[in-house]
Amino acid sequence: MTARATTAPIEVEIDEPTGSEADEADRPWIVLVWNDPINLMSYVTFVFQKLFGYSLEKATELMLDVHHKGRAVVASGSRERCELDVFRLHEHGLWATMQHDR
Amino acid sequence: MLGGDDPHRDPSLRRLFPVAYPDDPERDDEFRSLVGDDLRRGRLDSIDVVESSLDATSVDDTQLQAWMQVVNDLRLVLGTLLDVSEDESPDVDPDAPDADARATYQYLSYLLDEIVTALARA
Repeated sequence: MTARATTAPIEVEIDEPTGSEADEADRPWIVLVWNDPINLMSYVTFVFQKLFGYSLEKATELMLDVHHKGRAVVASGSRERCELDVFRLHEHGLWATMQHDR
Repeated sequence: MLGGDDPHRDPSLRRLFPVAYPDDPERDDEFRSLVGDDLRRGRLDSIDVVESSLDATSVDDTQLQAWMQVVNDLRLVLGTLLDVSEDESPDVDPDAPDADARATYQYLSYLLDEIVTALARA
């Protein structure tokens, strides 16, 4: 299947955390997408391009990582940014979780 | 199904409202209370778009994105109920008791692939 178009990512302003969450903000968070038997490879690749603006090549590489290794890191950043990414991935029916980058 | 059932109790909804913080149930509850309504409302909106365009001979990209969400959500629920495997054969055994459901699942997979191709070309 040849899909050549990419879509620009949606930019959203996220307020930086203050106070007690400040030290937590120093530890980056990562967003993982997990393999599942239902989602189509073509669909997952498309979603990665759509949500993160990845090229077809990069999105395909990530999708294959999810497929072969069971999961892949698709994004990283502040907790708030990652929660937004997880939400958008859940909107698209992908099994996404987040955790501290170890 | 999107009415208000607790996704943690209903396994067929688990795929539509997955866990975000697997190591932190408290944070996950917080996340769920933050985004659960938006997730549900977004899905209901997409269903509205699909229902209103069921007889259309063509749809625009915005409508097609809604179709994509609804078709995939149906696959997620149906696939979970049928406990499909990753290597699910497209050939459905016509004598199997759940043949209709499996055939529907296969058709929805084909349809989703067509939708993705159309959107990627845009």
